[in-house]
Amino acid sequence: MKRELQRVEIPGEYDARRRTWEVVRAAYAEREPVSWPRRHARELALAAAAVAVVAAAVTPPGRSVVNSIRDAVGREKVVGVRNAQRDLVRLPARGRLLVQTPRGAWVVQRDGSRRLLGSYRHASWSPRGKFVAGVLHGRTLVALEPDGTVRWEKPHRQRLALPRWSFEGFRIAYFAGSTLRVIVGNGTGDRSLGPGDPGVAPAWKPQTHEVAYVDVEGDVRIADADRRGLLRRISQREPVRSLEWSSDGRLLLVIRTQSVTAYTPSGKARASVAQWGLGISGASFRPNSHEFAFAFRERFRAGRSTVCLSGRGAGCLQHIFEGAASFRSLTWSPDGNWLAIGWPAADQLVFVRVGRPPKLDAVSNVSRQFLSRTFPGIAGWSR
Amino acid sequence: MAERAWIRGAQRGSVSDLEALFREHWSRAYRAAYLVVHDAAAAEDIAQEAFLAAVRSLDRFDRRRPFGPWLHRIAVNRAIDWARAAKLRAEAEEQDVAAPERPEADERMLPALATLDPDHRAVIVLRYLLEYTPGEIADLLDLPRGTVNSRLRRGLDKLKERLE
Repeated sequence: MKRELQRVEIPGEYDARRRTWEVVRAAYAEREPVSWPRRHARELALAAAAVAVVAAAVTPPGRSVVNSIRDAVGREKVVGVRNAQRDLVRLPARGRLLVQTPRGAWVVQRDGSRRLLGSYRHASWSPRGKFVAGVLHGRTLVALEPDGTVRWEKPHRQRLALPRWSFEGFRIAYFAGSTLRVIVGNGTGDRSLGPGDPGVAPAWKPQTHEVAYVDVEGDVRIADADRRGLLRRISQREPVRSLEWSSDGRLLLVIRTQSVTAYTPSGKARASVAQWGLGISGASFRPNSHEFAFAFRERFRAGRSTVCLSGRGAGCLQHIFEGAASFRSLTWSPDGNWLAIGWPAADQLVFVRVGRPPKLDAVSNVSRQFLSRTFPGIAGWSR
Repeated sequence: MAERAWIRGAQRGSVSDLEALFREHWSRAYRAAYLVVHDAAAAEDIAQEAFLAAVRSLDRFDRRRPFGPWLHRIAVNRAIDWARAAKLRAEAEEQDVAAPERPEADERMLPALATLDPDHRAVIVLRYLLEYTPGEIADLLDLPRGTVNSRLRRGLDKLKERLE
């Protein structure tokens, strides 16, 4: 077999080798051999920059430091974080990323290797990252392993959207047309839960089979999926964009276009961020915490956005990151130490360590790395 | 042992040591990528990208680790991604293609490989061209060892069927 594989003739192999060597040698010539302190200068500089970012939340002088090191805005293109890596060669924390592009869903391993699972949309991780649920060609619900092996699939007559796993993986809630349905995690026992808004993903309350979703009137409902009974209805004045439970299930984050509110399961507002800038572009609970990160477009600094940490009341407790245009796909690492921020205008994925010591890491050319013309979305960071 | 010296030399700026690493590893990385993607231009891009990633990470590379598996991991995983994307493109475009001419007897391996899924091709190439053990392949592709063994078995059965 080895002989056969070695005998396969590859057209133009010699020229390919010559061309590649020229490119590799040129890339090598651009780099300088470095001593240890210089070899680690980038990490040290990034750590210093991140310290300054955090300091800016506290002091006006700190903010001026941030302004001096922050991303530059070109006339036509956002430059993004300087010295960003050109390739996603490793994730800064344990776990795997699930990335969604128009071409399909990708899994990124800790070492940065990427795998296109197939042309699945609306992909989401199962709670322990053992499976991925997705929608194939709009009308087939699929559960697959992270290497792309399909475990089961269920075709449907209606258009499907936004499958989401319950805490232990025994249930999946998804939309078929504008009806919220629940299916057992092994692909059996599919049944309707009622009409809802198929533009907002359902959110399972941890340790229960209670699911929060947005109904056709735009209000938030919490229902028991097994008994098919309504537990709570929380009225909304503003369109809801997404829902997320805290890890302990004691708070439900309702993210709207202009505000974010954390509710108790009984519907009482516990923390709120409202009238921040020109609108909220995303928010996410920090794992094992009641703090949440939120991104908003600045009102008084045109064309800029900021990511803040909030919780225990209201407002911005800690300034995490800022830059031109807008951010999206705020996603926490499973250990809650790193926040991944999608920055479409700069085509960068930024990782900020929110714990101590602070650190900043960024990757550029993100769209190209996922063979996409548009900026990919982060669909989750699994354990 | 020589490989460690080449890596150390390349980290210190020696072009000849980098070239030695390139000579040692390029052909196998390129051939492995080609046997998975069946497209010479794509294989060239993939092998080139793997080497560029190596150059960029050279200063951080741990010399105690072997260079080959690290490079092959990047090349083969990207080749699988490319092959899957190409398959999707072909499904979307549904282009008419001319029927291939009947191959010569010694040119049957490539068409036979082409009938396998990219994942099966990759384990066959890693096992029989690059000579990794199933355990090592499981590590490289982040798969359970049983999955590697079953893909090898199924891939070989299908190849045998095609070649007979």
